Amino acid sequence: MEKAPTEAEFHAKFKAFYTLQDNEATRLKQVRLWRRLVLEDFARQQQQQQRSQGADAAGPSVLSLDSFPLFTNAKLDRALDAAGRKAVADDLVASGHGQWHDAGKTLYVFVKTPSEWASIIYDFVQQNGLGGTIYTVYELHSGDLTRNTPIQGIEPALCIQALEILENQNKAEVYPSDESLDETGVKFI
Amino acid sequence: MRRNVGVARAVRARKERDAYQGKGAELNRANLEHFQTQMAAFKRELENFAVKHKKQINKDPEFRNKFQNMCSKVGVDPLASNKGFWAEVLGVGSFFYELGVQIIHVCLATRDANGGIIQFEDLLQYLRRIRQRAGRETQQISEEDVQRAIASLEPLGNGLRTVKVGPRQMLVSVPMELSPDHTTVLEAAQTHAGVLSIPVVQRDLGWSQERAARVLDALQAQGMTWVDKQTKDGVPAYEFPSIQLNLM
Repeated sequence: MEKAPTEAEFHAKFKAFYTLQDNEATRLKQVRLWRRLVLEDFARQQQQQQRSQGADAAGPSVLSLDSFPLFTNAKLDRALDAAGRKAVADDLVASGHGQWHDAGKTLYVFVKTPSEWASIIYDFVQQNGLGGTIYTVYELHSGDLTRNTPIQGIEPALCIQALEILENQNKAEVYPSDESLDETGVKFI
Repeated sequence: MRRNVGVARAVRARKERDAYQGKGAELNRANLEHFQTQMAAFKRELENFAVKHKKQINKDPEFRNKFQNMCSKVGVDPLASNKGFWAEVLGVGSFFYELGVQIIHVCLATRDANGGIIQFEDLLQYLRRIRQRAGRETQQISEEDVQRAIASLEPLGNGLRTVKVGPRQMLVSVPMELSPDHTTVLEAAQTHAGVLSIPVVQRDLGWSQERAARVLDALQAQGMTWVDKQTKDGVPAYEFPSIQLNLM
């Protein structure tokens, strides 16, 4: 017997889940459950997009605080209050899963954080001996090089954030491009 | 002439007393021996019985409970220990140990969400699911089994306490002391499907507004109840995840 995870139970049945809780410990749990809901939802969206449109279509995942569908539950006649939405967004940013796009209104959501991507990319480079050659971001997210790996389809902006993390760790050199994000180059060390 | 006076009488009296005492001790000894052989026979029978019904003891909670009661009358606790003869005979020594660990697991896994209070019904349901996954589904468990397993965890400190809330048992795994007011409100929450408000508590229990608010706030501080401020009538609703949600 499979059962819905805890966050889905709260989301589907619990009206108080849509009011940001005053009790600090409860509020922390509540925000953590919301984080999981948001990330699961974006992961699902991305998989669907990749399946139906191919890797090239992957654009950045944007969450709008006003209109993110999961924030509203018509069946329960509840919608997450403004303070709750702000708390969820702040938590996403603090945990590395979000970055403000239009401060207070929209943010980019990263199902995997840039540092998680950094280690995925670096492991891939190590396993395939790709050190020393220059690659473009385009090659990483859409090239034959990464076909059938999780890196295929990564958003360019996110990819660059991950590469910058590697650069800070002296594992890569990043060559920014004035033309486009896709043409940013990288050499792994 | 008066007989039975003086030294001779005293001597005879002592002899008689000694004789009686001797006889008494003899009788006592015989009784004890008799009783000991009887106990030994009974224990032997109990063991034979246990071996013969091993399968049923392991499988059938009601049968297990009756067997356990019978054993405890003669000072044997076959299911609680995992050493020695009984464990070898029955292979059940670890039964309560395992169940105890599973109970703790359920409490920890759901504590975040329910504030550390869980209804026995739910606990049993989660335990059955866990045991099913562990390939133990043929071993049915009952509320008595769970009670006994909780009791056997007592030496580890009183981290788990059962609380009677109305007709139901709940298991509390947080250090909070539940006062009679708290359990009364928890009981009210159960009759209202896990949703209360200050006016509802006032009306149901005939309490003052302050008393209702104080108790609900205490349960809220413990994480046992959450507040919904989006109700139609604008009166905050206190919602209990331990009653409303399936958390495992």
